[in-house]
Amino acid sequence: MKAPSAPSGWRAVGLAFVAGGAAAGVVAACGGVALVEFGLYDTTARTPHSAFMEWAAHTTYKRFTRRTADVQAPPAPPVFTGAQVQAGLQQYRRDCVACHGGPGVGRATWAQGVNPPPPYLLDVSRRYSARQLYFILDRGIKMSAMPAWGETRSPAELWNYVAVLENLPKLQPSQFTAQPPMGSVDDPSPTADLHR
Amino acid sequence: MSAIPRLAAPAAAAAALAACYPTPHPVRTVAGDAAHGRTVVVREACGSCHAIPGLVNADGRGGPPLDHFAQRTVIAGVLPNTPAGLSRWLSHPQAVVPGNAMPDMGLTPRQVQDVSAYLYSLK
Repeated sequence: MKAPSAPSGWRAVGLAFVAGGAAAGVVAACGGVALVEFGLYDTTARTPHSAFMEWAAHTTYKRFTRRTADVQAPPAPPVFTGAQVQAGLQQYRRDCVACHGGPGVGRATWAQGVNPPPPYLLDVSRRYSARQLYFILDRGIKMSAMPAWGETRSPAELWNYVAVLENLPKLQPSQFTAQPPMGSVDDPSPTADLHR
Repeated sequence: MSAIPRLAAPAAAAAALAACYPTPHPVRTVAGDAAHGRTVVVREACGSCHAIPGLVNADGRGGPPLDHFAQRTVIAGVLPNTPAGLSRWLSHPQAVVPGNAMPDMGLTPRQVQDVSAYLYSLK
């Protein structure tokens, strides 16, 4: 009886390619599982991200936000009132200044240890539209210290944050330090903001 | 008549002038750890206000770009770009220009030195 012959020519090349690709995929998957199960990745906040991870994480976040916010966030009001900016300023002092500082105002010292580092927000209205800012504030950011404020703040309050962010370059440092933010470590009332 | 005696007088004058007017460029080097300074710059989120070459996501437009920082002559429009001027600015920008947009970040003297070394590595 004649022995079966191996595939020849391009068919052989094609099969080898597919088999090699599948084998490489299996090895990669095993490597990934091993990385997770044996804890082989440095997850500490103190060690800076590699440039690759920095680029990958931040670019994904920027692109996803810009793409999704225009569909899922409500449209922004055409103008923000002075009352919204003032309310937003009070909320900002309470909720935001510790991590994000303000114009001429530093962050809390422990914010040095937050990774990814919370940015200063002076030019954030140039990077993102009002609707995109609302989206970020409402939904927060995974694997970062940025809360989803929509869990505990009303839509009106979220727009107040956006109102103050859009006006940050016009505000003075003294407006951010006039009183200790409610709920901060300096707030004299121990139960402020605990029962919202 | 050869060229050398004809050039001697102008050459001597140029040498004398150079002695009276030494190079105006200050020495911009700081004994600090530029690599650690870079880490501090990332951690302090300087790139959220300043465009800094070579740092991912350092593309802020709140403050001036920091490319070629070693060549800049003036800091914040008021201080000479020397190690002493830079140290003063980084330590207490609010004392130098009260109410300006750059906050006091509470950097230690060591951090100021290292950040200065990093900034002066931006030729």
